[in-house]
Amino acid sequence: MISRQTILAAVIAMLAVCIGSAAYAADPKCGANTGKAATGEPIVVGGIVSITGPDNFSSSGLAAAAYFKCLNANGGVNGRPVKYLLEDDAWNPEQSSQVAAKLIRDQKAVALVGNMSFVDCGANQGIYEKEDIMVIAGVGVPRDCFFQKNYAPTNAGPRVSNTKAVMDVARTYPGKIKRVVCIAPNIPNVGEWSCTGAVAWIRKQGGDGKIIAFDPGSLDATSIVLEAMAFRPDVISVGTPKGLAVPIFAAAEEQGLADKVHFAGPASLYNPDFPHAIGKYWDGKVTVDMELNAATAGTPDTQNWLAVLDKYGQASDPRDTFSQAGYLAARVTAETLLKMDPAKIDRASVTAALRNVNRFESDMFCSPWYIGSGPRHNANHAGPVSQVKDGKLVPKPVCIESEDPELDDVHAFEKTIGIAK
Amino acid sequence: MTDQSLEGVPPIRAARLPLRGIALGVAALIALYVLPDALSNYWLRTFISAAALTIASLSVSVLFAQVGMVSLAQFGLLGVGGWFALRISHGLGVPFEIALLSAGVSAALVGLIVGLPALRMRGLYLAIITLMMAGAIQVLISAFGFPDGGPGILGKSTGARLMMARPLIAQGDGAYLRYAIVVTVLCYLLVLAHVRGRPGRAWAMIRRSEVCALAGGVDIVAYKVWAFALAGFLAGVAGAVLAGGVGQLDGSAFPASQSIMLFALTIVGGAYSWFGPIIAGLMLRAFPALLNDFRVDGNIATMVFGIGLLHALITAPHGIAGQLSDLAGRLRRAVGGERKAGP
Repeated sequence: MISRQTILAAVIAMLAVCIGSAAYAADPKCGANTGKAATGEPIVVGGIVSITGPDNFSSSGLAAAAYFKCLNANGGVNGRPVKYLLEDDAWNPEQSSQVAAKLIRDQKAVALVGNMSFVDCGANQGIYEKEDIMVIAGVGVPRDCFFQKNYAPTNAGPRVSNTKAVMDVARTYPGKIKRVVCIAPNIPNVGEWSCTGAVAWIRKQGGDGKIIAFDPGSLDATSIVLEAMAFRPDVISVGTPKGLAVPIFAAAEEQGLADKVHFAGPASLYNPDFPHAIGKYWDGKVTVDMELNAATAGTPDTQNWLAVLDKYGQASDPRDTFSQAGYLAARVTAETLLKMDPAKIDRASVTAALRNVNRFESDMFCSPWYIGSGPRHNANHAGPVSQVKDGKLVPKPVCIESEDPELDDVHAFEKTIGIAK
Repeated sequence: MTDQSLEGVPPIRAARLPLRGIALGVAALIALYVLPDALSNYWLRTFISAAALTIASLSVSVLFAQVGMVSLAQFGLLGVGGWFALRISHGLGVPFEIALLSAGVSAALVGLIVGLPALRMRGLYLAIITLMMAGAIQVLISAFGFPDGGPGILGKSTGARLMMARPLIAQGDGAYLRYAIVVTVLCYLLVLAHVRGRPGRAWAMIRRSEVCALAGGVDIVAYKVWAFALAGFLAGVAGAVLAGGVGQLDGSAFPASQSIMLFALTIVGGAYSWFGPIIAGLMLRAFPALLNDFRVDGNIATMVFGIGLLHALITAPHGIAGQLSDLAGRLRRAVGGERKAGP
């Protein structure tokens, strides 16, 4: 018979384990995790995000800043702290070019990390190539972000995201999805490009697709929905930011379309407020792509990301997909720097070291991420999707590999570094 | 209303132009040799943009101060010039100077179209019509974007984006700033040649009274069209300088609101002075950059510009340049007075 003392001891032991593991989960791990602050000569790393302007688009840079603070408090890069300089481009290409010159030429940054901007990739491609500096971006949006040798985003991008969302609907309803309409804002290098992957994929399956590009400054949601329905689609993918998507879903609800057409959207709709914004009518009827595994997944790296933000970020820093992307960009950079001789860290050596990253693992990714020496970078092209359900975005327990034909060269490169078979 | 409230302001006085020309030349020479070496790379790029916006402001000044017409389409024309410069540079691989002139000529042609309503309108109605033109240019640019090295009329690339080639003699930022300053000075000289010649006299008569100008034998239609073409040319050149500075242009950067901002800051800077467009260019690009450098929200610049415009309309119709000129005059008088009072 088990004595009362034994039971009490077992309960206390279990409590101790639970408390210990909770404390362990809440304590972030960064770099060498020494617990000692780095005091050596700083290594300058920059980042460009859009803080002022139409919207605050900076959560990736904020997460990178939090990670580097954590790194510096835990030994830094073999004793050298990272001096992370985050600049605002205000959604303005000229300002983006100015702050890039400031970071790269004036401040002598060895790399840029956690970038998140609609204009950075296009405006600064020239200086990135000329100075041969690597940009480990958190979030790339326009096409330019995925067609540069020196720009490697950790996110998937709107084109891959749209394609995955449509593919998931097609696989959920086999044989019934033949016609796809993709709606996107007519922003050059973003809108139409983000839809062509999904349309190319459905055409490859023997179906047909149509892209509706509209001026985001004068959105007429009902006209867009009616134009989409004139194509007799099986799926409508609303490839817009959340703010523009909500009126489109409202217009579709007025027409009673949820039971006639399947609705989907890229990761720009993956926002906790989105299900509430579109209302109960859409419960179980919208598929939304996720570029990374869910923030609520509870996996070790996801927990670490949240712990880093809790301890070294601000309470107001968003805990969203873009923040995950910025954390991952900072982590891969820090881990690469840690493998280098701290006395020989300069831009040329950092660029070379980052290009040698041919495998980087995180439970936030569905497959290994990499940088590599290829002419362009779109390493994140597989991920889960979620479903709008009970006022939440519920992740589906599968990873979808985007079959966008534009990724053929990326897959070919992956074979050379052993990522793809 | 704006131009009417400033009707009493005298135009540029020809007798003082040589002095101002000399001052401009000296200032340009100093800027040319000292500035690029003294600036950080951040400020080099900022001043390249400021030089381009100075030329754009000069185009507003030509129409407003010389002919008394308000055009709110000049920033849109800057986008037109930039579009042609990029397309010609990528498509034909011509030297930068050819792309620069092509941008000016193409924007001048579009400027002619913008100016057609000016033949029958002025004041508020002309301002509204030109603003609608700027809106139309904004829609076209946001729909089709800027060329980035691809084939076809639109020149849209499906792969990597091409950067616009800079002049052979100005590949670096410092050299390109010097180049941009030289282009700015040439634009000033072009305007000066017009102001001091027959067009300047005809514009002065039109500005005072179209009836009198007609009675004096001035071909009003031709000279108004000429003014819009010249202003369009300057705006187009500004677009090419800007495109060369950044290497490309973004479709989102040319909203119609920027044309209003350009006009407003030309008034604040001083449309009637040669120094006014330079102040406007610095306010449009260097002031927000200064705020950004000190990590102050760049949107505050817009609020400051609003206050500056109110100040200019109420108390300083000559703008900041006029106030600086008045201050210099007072100093001269004070120094002269002291001399007279001396032994």
